[in-house]
Amino acid sequence: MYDQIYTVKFSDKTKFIGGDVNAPKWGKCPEKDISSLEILLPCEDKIILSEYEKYNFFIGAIKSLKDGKLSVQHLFALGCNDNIVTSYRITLSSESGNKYRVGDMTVRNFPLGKEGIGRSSTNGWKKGIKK
Amino acid sequence: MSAPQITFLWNSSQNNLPNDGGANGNSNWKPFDPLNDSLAFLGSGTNDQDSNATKDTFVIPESGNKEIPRQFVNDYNESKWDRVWLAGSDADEGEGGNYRYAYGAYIDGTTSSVPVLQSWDSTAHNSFSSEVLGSGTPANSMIRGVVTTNSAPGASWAGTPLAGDGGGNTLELDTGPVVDSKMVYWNMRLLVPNTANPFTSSPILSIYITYS
Repeated sequence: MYDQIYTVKFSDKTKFIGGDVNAPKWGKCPEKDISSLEILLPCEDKIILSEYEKYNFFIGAIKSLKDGKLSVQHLFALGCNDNIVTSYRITLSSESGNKYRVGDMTVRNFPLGKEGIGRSSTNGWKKGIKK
Repeated sequence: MSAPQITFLWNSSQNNLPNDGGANGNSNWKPFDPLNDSLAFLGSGTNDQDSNATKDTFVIPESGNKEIPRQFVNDYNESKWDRVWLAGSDADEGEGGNYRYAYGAYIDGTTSSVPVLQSWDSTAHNSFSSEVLGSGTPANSMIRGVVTTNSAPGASWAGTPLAGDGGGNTLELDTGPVVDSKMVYWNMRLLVPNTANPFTSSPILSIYITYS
């Protein structure tokens, strides 16, 4: 897996560089107004979220009873305006027969509070600014 | 936060009590050995501590649905069946009941959203086509689960069919993200319809989590 999976740029022109998929360090991102959230994709392209009132970021992983390993599956970058969350889900792991390949992105909208896995709320929102 | 650690545990006793021992369990709760242990749904002729060299299988009902009456952990190291006494419902001839503390997982760390229990054909987590998981129709999955983290399941609980990752066929194991390390709990049953074909199947249970 690749390192530095995201970069946060702030309105004061500073930036914060995230960690890797095992320790994304979103919680260490300073509580300052975010102007953009830049996601590095497995193919090394980027997607940039901007113009959102708030942002969130997390990794999705699965652990089965059988093999005991935590397997990283997805990267989620979220932006929210007017209580509508746009979720960008990027596939990070894929096996033969999977519907999605590594790097595939699924974009969906949810009401705020229903954006989490299982359609519940998420923790970790950080404030952004709209120009 | 970094990735939380997840430990699956089961209650090996007849005491309907929570696990206060974290990932290591306590005198009642035992952690699964993920490489060697497995869950089994067996007939009433299998008893706790029987050798796992033999087992009592379940007969498909001639009409209606029946719950496979007993659940066990196949203890590889000791070559025996360890009964999960409180597992299952008391409906449809199951031998469980209104029990809150049968299965659980210790989440060591925090999560961004609620942990979700899923069931799949294999650890590839990409299909639910086996008959026990509904042959591709999640609502027909024979594996039924109920969340018991915050309350008992109620008398003769029915449970949610578990298959794949669709929201209606998974279990949210709590009411929100995990903010401090904790146990989450569920109970399970396997409900066999009279239309079932004879099967031996090894679906897997998984927990999907998020962290940041």
